[in-house]
Amino acid sequence: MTREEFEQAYDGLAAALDAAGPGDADKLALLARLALVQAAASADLAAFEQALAQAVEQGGADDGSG
Amino acid sequence: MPRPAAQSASLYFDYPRYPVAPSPGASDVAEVVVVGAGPVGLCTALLLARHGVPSVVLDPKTSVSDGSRAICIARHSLEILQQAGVADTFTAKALPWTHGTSFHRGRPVYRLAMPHGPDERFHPMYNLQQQYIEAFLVDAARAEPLIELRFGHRVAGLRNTCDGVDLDVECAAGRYALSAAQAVAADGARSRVREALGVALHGAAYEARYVIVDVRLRSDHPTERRAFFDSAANPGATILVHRQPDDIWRIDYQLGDDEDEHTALDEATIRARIAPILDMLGERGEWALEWWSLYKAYTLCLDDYRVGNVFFAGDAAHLVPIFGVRGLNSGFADAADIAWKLAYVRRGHAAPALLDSYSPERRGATLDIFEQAGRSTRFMSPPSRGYRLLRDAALTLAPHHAPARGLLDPRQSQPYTYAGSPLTTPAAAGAPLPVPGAALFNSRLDDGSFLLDRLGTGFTLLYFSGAALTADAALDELVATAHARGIPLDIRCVGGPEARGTRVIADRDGRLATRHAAIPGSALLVRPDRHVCAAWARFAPRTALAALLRATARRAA
Repeated sequence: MTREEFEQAYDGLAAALDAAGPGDADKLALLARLALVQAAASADLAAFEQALAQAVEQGGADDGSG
Repeated sequence: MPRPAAQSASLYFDYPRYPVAPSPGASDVAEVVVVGAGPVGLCTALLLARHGVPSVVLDPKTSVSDGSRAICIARHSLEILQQAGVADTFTAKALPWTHGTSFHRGRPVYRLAMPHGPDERFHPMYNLQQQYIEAFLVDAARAEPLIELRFGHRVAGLRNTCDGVDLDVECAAGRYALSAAQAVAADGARSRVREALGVALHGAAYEARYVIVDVRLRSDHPTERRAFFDSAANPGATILVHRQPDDIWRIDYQLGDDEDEHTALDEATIRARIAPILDMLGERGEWALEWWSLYKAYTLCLDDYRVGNVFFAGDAAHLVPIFGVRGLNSGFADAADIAWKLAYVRRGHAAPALLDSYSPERRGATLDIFEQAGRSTRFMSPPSRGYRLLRDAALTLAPHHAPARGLLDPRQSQPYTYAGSPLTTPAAAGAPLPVPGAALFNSRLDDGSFLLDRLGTGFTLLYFSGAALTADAALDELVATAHARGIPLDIRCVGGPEARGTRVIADRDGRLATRHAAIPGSALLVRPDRHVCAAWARFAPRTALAALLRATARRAA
């Protein structure tokens, strides 16, 4: 993956996180780190963004659980 | 707003007072008028003079700008300033640097190392306050007979005419009319020329706000860029720290979303914010406030940098985010681009259409800056929760994850490649480097001097001859043809064990050829502003002439 592609992935992931709604801060931070590592590894980003959005929604449902 | 204190209160800089120029009478004529005696306007005038073109520089001020403002000068800007004859003055005062460190929550997470080696005359970056930058350029301009500096003269009106520009100028003695063939508007972010011509900047503004503060402090910390993300001294926000000459330190700190700008610029508030930052830096000595201002990031530019016979440069043409230090540096590049083009058209070396290339080249550079600096700005000051999560993820991963470290690179200013310029001839495979449109990179030569020092004010054909100099007749033919068409062209042959006059540059072990991926017989055609406009694996006079005509906006014969 080129730097340009990685940076485009960065923008896409940021948009996915923005669109995902509220979530547990620690889980979101972990997901963001996983997303970056995944993006850098040239994974299937569209599928990952979708999974990320779903995971964030679940994270939101877990709010307050610690 | 900048600190309102008088310039006389500066702790380290004696602001010069330049005499108000006398009025030339009811009317006057100039070949080129430069509006604005800031760094970009003065650099333009000096470069015009280098090409033998006189100019009149107008500015309502009678001193240099207030405050340190733009402090980071990139290597390519020093190469431009070298052509303007002032680089030695700059490097004697400025602080060179090559490295930077980024911290996240107090922990170092990224080490910036800008490329630097023995092939470079200049360091990748220098820190110098803008007052010095302007004062050094004014000194050089005052010593240049082809430049007439008119401090205390303000442009009250400006109109394009069919063959030039008419200006109404106000000075202490009254108003006078000034006519010129062309004008360069380098009158800054609040350009009066822009207003007079009814054109406006368009683009976007970022929400993040920074207070930029200069403090005087004695410290042995080396000159480097330090960035602090989410530090104890500014939780959730960013701080940048730079060293400047004269024991002055630049501290930029991001304001929180709920902080009031008016309160933030209050001296007591600033003192209260700076103290914990210095404590975090481990600085325990006495310090004093020198100057401060508020900064917001913009990506704004004109739709066209040319309006009739007026050419916009620097902040008058574009406002870019500070991250990556592209503001003043892109202004110097504007000056280098417009100066040779105006000079070549004024002196008949090129067709008037050459001036049409200024806006696409330099506005193209601005749009590239918007892309690069926009990314830097989103990283330094994330505009949304998603960007903040990813930025923090990158900062957390950076110590152990190379791709994440790449996101921390501040993308410092680099010269733009005019690949799509109408002046650039695309190269075929196998051509030497750099690619057409790129700035020629420097190299240390066998005798210890530098390649860029060996170029003149005209076009240069850099011919890689290898050990045997066999193309003299063809090269002479090209020079004769170019000169017959009024195009200044010099030849520099690279190769062989010994230099011969100015024409042959020794390359005993072929190191220079290797750096350029050149084979014997290949060549680069270099513009007067040191950007390559054509490259060939095998030089031929006919194709070289065609490229030369293209680069001077003439049709190939």
